[in-house]
Amino acid sequence: MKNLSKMFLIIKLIVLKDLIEELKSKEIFVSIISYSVLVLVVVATTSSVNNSPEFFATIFWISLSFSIILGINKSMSKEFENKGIEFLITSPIDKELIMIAKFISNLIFIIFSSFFILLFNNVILNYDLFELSFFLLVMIINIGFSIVGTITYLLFSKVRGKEILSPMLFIPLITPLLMGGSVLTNQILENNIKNISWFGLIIGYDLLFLLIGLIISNIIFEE
Amino acid sequence: MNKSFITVNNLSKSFNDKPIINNLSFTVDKNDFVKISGSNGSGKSTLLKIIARIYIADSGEIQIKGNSINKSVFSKSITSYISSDFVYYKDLTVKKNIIFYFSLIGEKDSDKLYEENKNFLRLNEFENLYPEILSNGQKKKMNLFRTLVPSYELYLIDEPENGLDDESKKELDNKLKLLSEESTIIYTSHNQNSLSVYEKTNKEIML
Repeated sequence: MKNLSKMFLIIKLIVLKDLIEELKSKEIFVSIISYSVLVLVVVATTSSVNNSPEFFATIFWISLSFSIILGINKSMSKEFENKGIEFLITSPIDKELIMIAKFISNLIFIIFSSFFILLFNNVILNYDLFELSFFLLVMIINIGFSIVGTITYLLFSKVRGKEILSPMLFIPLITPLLMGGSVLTNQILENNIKNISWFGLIIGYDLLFLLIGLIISNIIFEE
Repeated sequence: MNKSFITVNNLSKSFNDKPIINNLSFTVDKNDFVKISGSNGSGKSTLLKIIARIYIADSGEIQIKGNSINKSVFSKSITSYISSDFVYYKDLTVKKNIIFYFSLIGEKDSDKLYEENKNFLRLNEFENLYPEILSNGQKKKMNLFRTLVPSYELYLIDEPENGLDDESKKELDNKLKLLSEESTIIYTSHNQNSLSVYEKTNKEIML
């Protein structure tokens, strides 16, 4: 029990540190939100496609997934700038806890940004995506984005060209999440959820990558 | 029964197929004051980073107090690694950087530890500044403060005096003398005369 509370304390410390850094710099939120708004503006000004749910679902997930690449890269690169990561890896804490803390920090950044993207989606494309079940969907998909994004960044963190390589692995790995997100968004917007099993698949996918992240955490944090 | 404080057996490490450390073996006893010598690029910093578990050795084994350093976080709980690089988070003030680290290593009252020691290396003079605007000497002081103030059994120190003014060198000298009473110290330095504490060196590892 004492160990468990110590583990929570360490995770809380790292997450709070990330939030304090972000409150000062605002680099991650600005990257995610500005990029996704740009995508929405371009779509709104150039597209003559009808206003079907499929259209809005596609635009939402495209703008979110691409802007998240920027956000996670920014968030993770901050950890490696000025070798701050040495704070974590020279401390007597398990690597798994560092990994979980980074998942949570990135998830908070993504969820907070998603809310604004939804808001801008509503304003720019004039389509209301504010639904409770849609929020749940965004939440479970964002968990997957955060986990996969953190892992892919860390895998290439010591490689030249990581800014290119990391997204090239991230996008294929999140494809199942995007497929589920797209199908369920349409059905939620049409008030007719037929493929509820997608929720289970998405959660299963999140858990699978959580497990992979924890297993490889000992390798990818050391040189 | 192996009674050495640190035992290094057949340690090897390469970078891009270039061997840096090749089959190195040595032992260090408790309270030893050990110098690692060698020319630039001979692997001095690499050796310290392997003991601190920042790098993983390609082969060989290191035991600290009889425990393999790869099997648990035990070795980290008794080891402080003082890097020759500047290590910090740029969006946290000097004080927040240090208190974050103290909390991370499990100090019960990080704020108190900080407040009690903040005159060491005159850190209080720039504690509320962000590291990016500090001089290299001030960044070095921040590193030394963070890693030398908490109590450890083993200190791995990579060129500690580099970039410090004379007054700070004196303070560092006194601090290291104090620490060497209770702890084991392994250091690298290119200037053996820069600190008088180096006279306590009782073992040298040549790379």
